[in-house]
Amino acid sequence: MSQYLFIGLFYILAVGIFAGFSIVLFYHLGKYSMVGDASKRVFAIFMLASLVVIVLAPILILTNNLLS
Amino acid sequence: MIYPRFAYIPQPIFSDQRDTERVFVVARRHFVDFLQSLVILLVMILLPIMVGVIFGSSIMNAVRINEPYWADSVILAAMVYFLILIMVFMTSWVGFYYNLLIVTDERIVEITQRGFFSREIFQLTYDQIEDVDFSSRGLLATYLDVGDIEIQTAGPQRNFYIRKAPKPQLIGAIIHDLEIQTKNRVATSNRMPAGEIIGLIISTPVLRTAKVPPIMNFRGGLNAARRRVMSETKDPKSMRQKFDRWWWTLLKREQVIFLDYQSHEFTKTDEIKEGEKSDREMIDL
Repeated sequence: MSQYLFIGLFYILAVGIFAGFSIVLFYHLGKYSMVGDASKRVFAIFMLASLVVIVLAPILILTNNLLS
Repeated sequence: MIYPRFAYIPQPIFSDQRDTERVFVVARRHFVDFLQSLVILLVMILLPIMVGVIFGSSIMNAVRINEPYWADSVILAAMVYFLILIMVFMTSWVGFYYNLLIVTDERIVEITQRGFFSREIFQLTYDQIEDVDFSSRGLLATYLDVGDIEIQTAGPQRNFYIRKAPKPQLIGAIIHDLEIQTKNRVATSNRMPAGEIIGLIISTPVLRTAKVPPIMNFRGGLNAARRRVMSETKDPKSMRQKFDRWWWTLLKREQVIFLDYQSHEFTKTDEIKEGEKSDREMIDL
């Protein structure tokens, strides 16, 4: 059971660090972007790609545990 | 001629841009400079996927990883790996995208962004320029019209060195024309590149005879245009307007500084330093 706790904590830590990075990035984009440039679009793609990775991981872990 | 979309929204590009300061060039490094990071990212994404597809089962059998816990760890490690890749890529992108060269009728501004926490802004007036050189080396650079521009300065100011600039010959010519006119004491409001192409917005040349994009601020009134954009989203109804309003008010510190700058009422003594002639007194050539 402790191993799953470790996986859960590690997941939360990784996502937390990534969220911190996203906030820093968002701040920079808000501060330095020019209106209408590609910053907003790139940020949207960045969030989409990272959300896919973050959401896919627990789905795969759950599927793996259900199947085995 | 197609301009970047943002070219249609007049706005200050840098913090203390004057209301009447016309912009001739807004350029960032050519995309070819970012291509290396992009290729490395693609390889780093594809490599573990290909290794997993080709050798995955053999590796799992060889190390006898059959328990779900170990498979979970592998999935978690893959997630962290891809998140790190995304973060490294975005850091590299910020370093690429927020490097800007801006040429106006008064000065040259170079904004150098290294990663997230290092941002340097250098300014150079035309009377400080000694010489403008450009060079283009290599097959790709010649083919894509990419090169380096070096602006040698007089006095203690460091030389400007702009790497991988798009259309270096054109940028060099625009700077050279403005420098000559400044040294011939042409009034700021009358300075204009002499060639058929009078500007370069990102990578798009602006022809003398074509419609000038508003970002070049040829009619002045940047502040009025900004107020209009802000008033349009003052009472947001749609989600899009709400988002735009929220984004606009998020920070935009440089633009807030700009508004403060604009609200300051300039007197004649503010604008004309002692011993200098005003633009009105200068001879229009």
